[in-house]
Amino acid sequence: MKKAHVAANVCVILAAAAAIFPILFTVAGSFMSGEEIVSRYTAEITSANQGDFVSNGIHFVRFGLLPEQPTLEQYRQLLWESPGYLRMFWNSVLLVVPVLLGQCVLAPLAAFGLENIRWRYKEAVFFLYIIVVLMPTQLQLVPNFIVAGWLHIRESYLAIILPAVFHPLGVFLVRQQLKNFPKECLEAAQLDGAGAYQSYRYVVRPNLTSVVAALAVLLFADNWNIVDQAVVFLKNTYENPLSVYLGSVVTGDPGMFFAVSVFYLIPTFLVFFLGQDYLTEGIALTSVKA
Amino acid sequence: MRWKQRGIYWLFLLPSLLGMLVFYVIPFGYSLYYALIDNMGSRQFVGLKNFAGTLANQLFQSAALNTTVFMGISVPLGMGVALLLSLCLQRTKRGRVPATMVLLLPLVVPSGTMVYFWKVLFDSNGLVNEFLLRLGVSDQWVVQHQCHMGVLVVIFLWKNISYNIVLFWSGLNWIPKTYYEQMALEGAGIWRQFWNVTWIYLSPTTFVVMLMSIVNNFKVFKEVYMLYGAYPSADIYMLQHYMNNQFLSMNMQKLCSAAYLLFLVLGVLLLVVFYAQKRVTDAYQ
Amino acid sequence: MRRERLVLSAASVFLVVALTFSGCRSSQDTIYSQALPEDSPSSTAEDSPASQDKELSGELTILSVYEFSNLERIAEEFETLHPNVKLNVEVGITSSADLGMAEPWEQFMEQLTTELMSGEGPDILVDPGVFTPKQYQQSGVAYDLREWMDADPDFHLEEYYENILQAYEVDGDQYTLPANFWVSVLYLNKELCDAAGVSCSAWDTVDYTEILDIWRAAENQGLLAQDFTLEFMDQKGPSSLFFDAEFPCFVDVKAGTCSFDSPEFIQYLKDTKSIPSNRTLSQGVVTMSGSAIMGDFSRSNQEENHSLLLYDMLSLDSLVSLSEIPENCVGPLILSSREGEVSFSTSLSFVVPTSCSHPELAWEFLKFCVAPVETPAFYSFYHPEGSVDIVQGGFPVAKENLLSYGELYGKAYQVMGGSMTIPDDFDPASMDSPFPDGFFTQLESVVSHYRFAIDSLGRVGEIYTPILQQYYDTDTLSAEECARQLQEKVGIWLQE
Repeated sequence: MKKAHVAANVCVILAAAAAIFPILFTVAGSFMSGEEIVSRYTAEITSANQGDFVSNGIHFVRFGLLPEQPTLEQYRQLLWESPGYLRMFWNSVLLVVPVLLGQCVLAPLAAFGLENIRWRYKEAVFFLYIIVVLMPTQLQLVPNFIVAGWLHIRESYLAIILPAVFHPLGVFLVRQQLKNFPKECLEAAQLDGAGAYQSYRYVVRPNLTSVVAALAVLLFADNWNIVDQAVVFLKNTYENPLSVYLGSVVTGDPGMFFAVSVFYLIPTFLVFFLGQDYLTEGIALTSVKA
Repeated sequence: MRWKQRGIYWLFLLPSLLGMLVFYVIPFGYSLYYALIDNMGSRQFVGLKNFAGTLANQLFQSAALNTTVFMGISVPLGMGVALLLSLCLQRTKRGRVPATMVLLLPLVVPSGTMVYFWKVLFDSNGLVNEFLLRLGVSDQWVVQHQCHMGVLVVIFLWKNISYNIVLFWSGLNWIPKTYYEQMALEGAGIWRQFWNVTWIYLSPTTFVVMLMSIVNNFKVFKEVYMLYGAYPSADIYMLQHYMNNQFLSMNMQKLCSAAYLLFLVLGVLLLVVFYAQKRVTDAYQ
Repeated sequence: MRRERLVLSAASVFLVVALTFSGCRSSQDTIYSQALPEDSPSSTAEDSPASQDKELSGELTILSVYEFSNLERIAEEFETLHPNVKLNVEVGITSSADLGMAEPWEQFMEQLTTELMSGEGPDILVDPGVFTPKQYQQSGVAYDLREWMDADPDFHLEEYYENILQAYEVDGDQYTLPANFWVSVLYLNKELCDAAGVSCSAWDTVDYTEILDIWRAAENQGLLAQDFTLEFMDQKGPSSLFFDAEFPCFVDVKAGTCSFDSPEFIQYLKDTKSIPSNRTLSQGVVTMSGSAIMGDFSRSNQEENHSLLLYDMLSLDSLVSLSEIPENCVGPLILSSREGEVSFSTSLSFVVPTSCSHPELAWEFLKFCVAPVETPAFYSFYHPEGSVDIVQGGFPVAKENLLSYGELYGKAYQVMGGSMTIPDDFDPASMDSPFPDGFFTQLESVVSHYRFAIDSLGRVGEIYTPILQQYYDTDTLSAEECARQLQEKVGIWLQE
């Protein structure tokens, strides 16, 4: 058993190192000035990067995690002088929070309903949920644009929030998990006289916490990085979420770009930190015993 | 009483179903409509002509082949490694919290930032090439033997493994510990425990992971596009590139017919897997 | 509980900090508001075209992908003529310098294509070549202007340069209407031409093989300066200079084939690789035009031969300088492909999407932009009170306009001299023509040979430019490899 533990730890450590490495790179980059980043990573041979490895007229990257001339200039600019980035950050929050709330309320409810209805074509409906997830973004854009026109929500955040709230992933995920839910508990609750809503709220829902947490994490990941829908529906640059700015290759100052990226990653720490405990709650059989 | 009970369940389902119908099924249907007309201007019904044209297009065929190869490599790999890591995470006691957080970080790194990193690694003046050149490999060889598909798999795995870990982790935690304890009492080893308990009760989650891996396979196109542009070399020209270029050429009919052919193939595949896992779980309910 | 409290307090601190700094909302809107057209006084319509018979009314949105400095004035002029019409000019890609938040190209394209395909696009689109005519045809998002041209009794196709219009035609349908066009000319170093035994007269066509022959001959005879570069001021660089001209030889857009893997193209690459140039990877294209640059070119070659050719875009104001070619220059010459094909570009071309709310009004506006004008008015950057000049220095597509605008510009620049301002008593009607006899006839016959529009290629430039740059600016690519990559990628573009 000990060997398995050690092997497991090693795997996890290796994986964590691979996962965090690019982020360390970003953090390091955020402390480098724009000129240093350019001189390190550009393909041109300039006066600033004379001593680096060069072949056939191309300058190769001079990788490093420690800045040669560390600077806080980007952060200073970001926090003190650039209300635009902060505003875009809050736009991102404004987009993601309703989506999370909506999905975490509606999806388990719908999954519970789907699991318990008696209908011949129930599985077909479920399969429809599955197949619709496969639509690539480009396919969705034009019809969503048209539908948003019908609903008169086109240039507001609703045009982005509503499709995300009704994304099938939530129902799908929860329903798959509900399949493992012992039916006896439900029947026991009903025998005790609980109605559908009560059995949902007091029996099923508390046990879905880990799934809902997983759903929240995944939805957060998908929607925090939303780019295409925001680009198409929002007209003004200052209404864009921050992911739009970070969703294209670096234009302008790379140092600033990295600093904004780091700033962008901070809320995720919060979300993961809070969600960590909920993720590990499994089904608590003891509380289910009626 | 019975009827009222059943009605309530429909009420639970209704908001989500309505929303899904409006925002997902209608676009799905619209796309079918676009695939069946000649163009957005005259909107004449041409039946299956677009599908035939797309299938006959050699570019589409080679793109489909590349996509199949890419999916066939990266999806099982992503699922396997993620499952392994989730099981490992279960076994680690100390440091589980920070390890999980670190492993979930790739999910939220914005694509522009990540592409910068991938460029530093994989671009023509990147670390990988520098390493090879320093080893003494000739630069003609380096230019000609760029393993683009490998780069794509790495990019996909880096993000997707985290995604899958979240799903597997929540699925694993659902399995009551008592099942394991029961098996251990019966004298079963790790492998049998895994096969008889974990694999069975994880199969609904595995199906979700497979579906979301396929979806993410399409989403990784964003990074690939930023790295290699809209017209990469022929060995990584995939259906996503074909569809994106058709979108940018405003050629809705070709885009939708290609997408529907894709749905058809994936739908059949998913249907088969769906029923397989349904049978597995139903047998053990 | 303790941990949660810590987290909550951290979150609230963060909230407060961020809110404080994003609190100054009021100033943001002034920073980030789109550039609104300023209220300008209505232009004095001194020389308005013949007033229209019908009363037009309605509102149109004109979207220009890039900023086109004159478009608002053109719209205003049209509004002055038709008081019930309102034209809103919008710009797609503004160069917003605030925090580098200029909208990236891909994002704008995504937005534009979605809008066009959903039927919510602008009423008129000013397209600098982002879509090819074939894409408009296949997608069906634009009106076929040819139908309108045929149906309108006021529009006479013979009055226009049909070859220019036809360059945008696909299967007899015309989706793009160019309002002006630009031709590029070359001037060669006379001494080197003579040394190579090549004699050219004005308006001859010359292709890259002849130019390279002159260069090599001069090199063999040791006539070149130390820092000789083939092209004066390296405006286009070897990767673009001849490639744009040779493109129609190697790519047949109509047939959907390309022949970059042919030995001719590989030979072309090898021949042009050694062109002396002082471009580096990062240099962009610098275009300057006008008689000033020709003077610089001539002076630079007085003592030693520093360059062989000068590449210039011919505009209406530089027509006058054509009669004052310096002694040591030969030209103007037209750069053609090896097969004699010559290409042009436009700076203002219109497309009318099917989402247009008032197609008739849009057509009237288009006609206003291209129709022959009885008395053209002169608008100069330095004399903005003049009436609007639509062609902005490019050649107009209406034949009559070329003559009249050409004369007007010629006279204006004669009068301005070097001062850049028009005196108040400028009276073109009383002046003699500064051009020699038969000048415009010759110009017209030159213009009638143009058949290929560079703008009709759409975004294929994005595909080949990086490959060519890598080939010319670094040594990592062999000619065969470069050709293979081009063949592969342009082949994909054609096959889609």
